[in-house]
Amino acid sequence: MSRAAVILTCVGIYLLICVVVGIWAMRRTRNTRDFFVAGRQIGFAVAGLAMFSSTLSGFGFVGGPGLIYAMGLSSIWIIITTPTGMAVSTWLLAKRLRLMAEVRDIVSLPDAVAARYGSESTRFLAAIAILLGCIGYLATQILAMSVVLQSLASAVPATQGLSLVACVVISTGFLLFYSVTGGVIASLYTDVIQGAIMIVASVLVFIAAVNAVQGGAVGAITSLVADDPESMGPWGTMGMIGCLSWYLLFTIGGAGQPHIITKNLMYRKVSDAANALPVSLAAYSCSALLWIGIGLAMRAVVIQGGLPPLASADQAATTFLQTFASPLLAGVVFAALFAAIMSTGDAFLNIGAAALAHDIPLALRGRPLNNELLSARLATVGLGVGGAGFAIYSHYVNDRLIAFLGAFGWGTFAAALVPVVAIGLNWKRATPLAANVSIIAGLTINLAAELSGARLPHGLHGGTVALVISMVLFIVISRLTPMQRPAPDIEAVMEM
Amino acid sequence: MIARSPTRLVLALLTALAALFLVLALLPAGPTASATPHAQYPGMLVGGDGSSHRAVLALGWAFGALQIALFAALILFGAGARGRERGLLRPLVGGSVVYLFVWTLVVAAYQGWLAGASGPSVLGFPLPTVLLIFAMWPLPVFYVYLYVRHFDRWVFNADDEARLRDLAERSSQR
Repeated sequence: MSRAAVILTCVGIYLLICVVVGIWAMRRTRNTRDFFVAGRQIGFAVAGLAMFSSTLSGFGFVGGPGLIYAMGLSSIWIIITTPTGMAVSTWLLAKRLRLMAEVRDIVSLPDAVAARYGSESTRFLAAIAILLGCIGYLATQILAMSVVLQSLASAVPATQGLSLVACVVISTGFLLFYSVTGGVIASLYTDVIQGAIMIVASVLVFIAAVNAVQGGAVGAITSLVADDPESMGPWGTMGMIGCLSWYLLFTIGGAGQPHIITKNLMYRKVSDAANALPVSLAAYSCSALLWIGIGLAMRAVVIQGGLPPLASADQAATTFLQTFASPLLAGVVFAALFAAIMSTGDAFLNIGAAALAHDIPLALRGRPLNNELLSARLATVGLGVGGAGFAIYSHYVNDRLIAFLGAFGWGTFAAALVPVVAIGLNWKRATPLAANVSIIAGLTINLAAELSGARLPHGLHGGTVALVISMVLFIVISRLTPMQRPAPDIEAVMEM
Repeated sequence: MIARSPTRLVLALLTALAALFLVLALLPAGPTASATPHAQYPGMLVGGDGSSHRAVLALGWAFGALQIALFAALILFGAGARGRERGLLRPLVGGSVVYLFVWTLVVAAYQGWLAGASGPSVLGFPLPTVLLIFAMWPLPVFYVYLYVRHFDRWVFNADDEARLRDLAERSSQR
């Protein structure tokens, strides 16, 4: 069997596993609560791995090594945020969200926001912010998956000539199948498989990376320091302020990422939050090995003259796998790449469907849709098809569109949702007006920064500035406006 | 006072961060303040000699220090009154001071490295990077440890469990 056929077979087996999980999960999905929050029956191991695999998207497997290749150690500041970011997010939100889910039967983040502030306008704005971020993220994931699938298929005679549109249809088909049939239950259990594949692949790739460079790890780093010492300094090539602004955005911003924090609603017991945290952290730390290993190895190999410079930094991971990994390892890593993309994609499908089928109708009509489970499934299909169409449109007509919306995602969620959720769920003085203003401010500042393409001095990140401004606005406006006591049951939860 | 009003502390730290951004915006950025393309390898960037950092090193240290204080303040905030009253404050502040100390070491080692000092290296990484990767990265696991180890004491105990059951029962009767 050829190298390409081995890789494609590994990816095929993985996709089939996702379909089987989807069918299994369908039998366990009986109502909206099952579809959106897995009936709050998820144990800590599943939740921990699901949080990890939703966090690490395809960006971690392709963009991460590419950033190290291009910029040296700068992007390590995104990775080292993990222990602090996960801890801060868990201290602020894990218990609070889980308790609210129990008391108010909450199935989505905007549900929690509406319960906390007693405001349907805040629910609506939170749902819109989630939907805007979702579309960009989802289209990015679908396009990434399709491009990789096309490149793999082109190397096998039987599948040569498969168009990108066909690859989009196939990729979206698999993603939608298990997301629609099994809802979040299928997403969570595929996340577990996906997380396990990612961990194994990362460790194996790190070993391969160390062996790929002349002189091993020490040889690689010595070559890199000799070429450009600053690239191996603590800030890489981006500079100190740029790295520190990433540190702030990715640490505190994690508490506003809906595809990650909604997992807190799903624990079987409140104490599962404590056990899920180390699981998630350990898994993420393992996968960081791939990000750093491939990036450093590829930069060193090119500098040592072992390979010509890459046409694009994003080719670092794929070139490494084609050149230095055995066919089976490359197959496992490509399956892991699909896993990383799909686990993030399904998380976005789930929260986007909740926004469309649950939160926006509730905010506008004051009551849920008649058949909410069916509506949720239809919304998932609609979002998937919309995301696929958007991916194709962006690829053929406007290639800046997806990059724009993808980049918009993390910063938008951070600036729009961290104050409202992370601060607001812990502070009784917070008011609905402050929540609404900070969501709008977070969206507007991020949008303006992305549209204008303005670069802030010293590498300061626009998303970081937006996050700090929206947090300040939230606290100041809350202090200046009359306090509105939360509902008694919510107040009791906030006092626990 | 801090324990009683962590919101004020969070606001003070956020305001200080906003002021720091303003100072940075007003501080002229030199020609080598950001990465430049590698002369030999297209697609790679280089950081140069690091001289541009001399002007922002103190501000950068303050930026990092404010963040560490903000992380601790947010954890204190999330712990609620119970956590603060039952002894979280001391280990949290202690751990954060160590975190701040390591951060200061990273910046000091970098300053020495800029001046040409060579210190011990691990795997070929210069000393400030060694401190970043092997000390500053794993250190905040301490915050995770506090949550996991003292969950029953500072986060959610048996009394809370009973109150939650009562609340949930009342809510289902509505």
